[in-house]
Amino acid sequence: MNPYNYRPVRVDRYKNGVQIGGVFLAGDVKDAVSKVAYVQELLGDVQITQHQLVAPMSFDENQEDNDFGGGGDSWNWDESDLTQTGDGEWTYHGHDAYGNEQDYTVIDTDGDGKPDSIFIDPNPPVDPDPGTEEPDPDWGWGDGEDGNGGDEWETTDPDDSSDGSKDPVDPNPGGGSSSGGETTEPNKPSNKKTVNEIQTAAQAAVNNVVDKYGMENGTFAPHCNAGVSEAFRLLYNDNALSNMNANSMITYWTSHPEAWEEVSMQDAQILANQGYFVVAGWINPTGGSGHVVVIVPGEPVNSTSWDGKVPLTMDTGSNKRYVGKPISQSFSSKKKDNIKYFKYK
Amino acid sequence: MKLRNIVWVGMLFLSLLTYAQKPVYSFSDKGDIVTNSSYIKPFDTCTFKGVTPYIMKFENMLKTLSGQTYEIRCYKYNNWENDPGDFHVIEVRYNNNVVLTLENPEGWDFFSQDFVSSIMSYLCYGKVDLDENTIVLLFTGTNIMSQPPYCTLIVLKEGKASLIYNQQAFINDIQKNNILTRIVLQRNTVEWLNENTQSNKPEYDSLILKSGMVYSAK
Repeated sequence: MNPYNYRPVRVDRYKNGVQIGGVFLAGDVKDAVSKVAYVQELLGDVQITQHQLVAPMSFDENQEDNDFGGGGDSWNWDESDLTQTGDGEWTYHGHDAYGNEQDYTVIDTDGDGKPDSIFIDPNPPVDPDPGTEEPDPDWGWGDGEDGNGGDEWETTDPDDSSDGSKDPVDPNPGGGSSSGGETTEPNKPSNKKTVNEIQTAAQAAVNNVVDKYGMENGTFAPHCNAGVSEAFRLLYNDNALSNMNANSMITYWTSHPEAWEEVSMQDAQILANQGYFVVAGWINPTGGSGHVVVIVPGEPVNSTSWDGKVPLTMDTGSNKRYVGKPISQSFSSKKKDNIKYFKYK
Repeated sequence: MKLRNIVWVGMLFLSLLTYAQKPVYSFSDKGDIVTNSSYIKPFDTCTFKGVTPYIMKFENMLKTLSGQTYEIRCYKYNNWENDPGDFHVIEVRYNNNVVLTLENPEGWDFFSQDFVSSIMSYLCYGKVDLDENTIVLLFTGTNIMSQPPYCTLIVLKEGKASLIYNQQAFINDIQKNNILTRIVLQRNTVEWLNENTQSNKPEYDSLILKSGMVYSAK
């Protein structure tokens, strides 16, 4: 997509000829950031390096009049928020998905003298403390430093993907589910990370556990709690899960619903693919060692013992030091109904 | 006086040793092995779709010192690529007749090669000659959920095969001398809160294989 030819923007993803997700980028400015984030999830292995994105401001690509304030427009704007900055170019003063005040560049693409398309940042930052930092006046406009001139989409070979994600598609892009859909409130910063960040932290956590504890009697001793707490620390610079055994860690997640939300197994993989830190654990009812893992982004796989698709884990339990194997190899099928899954909100 | 003390201490040591070592099985009047259920935790009996035909992972022939030949086969479930265990069915044959079949959905792992200096090791198990007519096979269960894996012992004797021991335990070591083979077991998972702090202590146990018998020793 090139911002200089102002083509309408719609992204769909198909699998085996069946549409499994899609979004029309146009619409309310307040939705723009989350839409772009969703587009990035739809694109999956396609790496986005363009710094600028342009979207026509209508809800339907078949809508004839897309102008700001034109007949049939159904999106919200206030004329006082629009300041003309040049020929066919305006600044729109609005808010981003997190409620921060934001200026957007708006342009006239059909030559009728009225604004109809808006530039939005394709890499929306997740600000943990909105309002305390000045918005980047350049807000990601391409300066050519990346060699792409800031105006071209660049794709990479899917096999050359660095984030390792496979088809991370939200089947419920509009939300509506209390656990499986996008649950982040617009004005509340979430602890979402990128797929790549989670994958990297999970692998680094495994490596650190290997380095710290080594092998005992020719095998890797169980240190599942160390792996989970280390991944959490690497991602959030937070030692909240340190110095707990597995049972205590699950009890902690259960007793801190303000930070940890229990989710279903099916939603666990979806949420991990959206960039949430998702964990799973089994409390040993005998008081002996329980078991905890991190759910890592990826394509769920079929398990015969669990009789269905299962998510992927990072596991540093007994003789386990890996990222990306099915949870059916981390937990016995006979315990599957006793496993709890949590999302770090 | 000194000699009397030494004798007393020696007797006390021997009595403790005798008390601490319990035979894992016994013999009937006919000489057949009689297993003790307290040492045998049953395997789960789950039924899964599509796991047959089993996939042969290993097969070999074993001879006792007196020349009796057994055939050992180990199979993996079909369609089990994303599930635990290197193999799930153990079959023992004698004179082409199946004399024992064990099935464990959680599976066994291939036998660790870390103990080759003290036990004869094959892909799926370790082997100890208990006497001229008796062989003990040692299998190790799958590591899963940070729990101790199963330690499974089968005795082959006089054309028969018996499961004599199936308990959860990590094998920490296998020691061998001219008289016995000792399998050092750790019955629980030790959890570490950090690099320096354990949240619990290991509980050790051992199996002593000598003179035609397997003993459990604390």
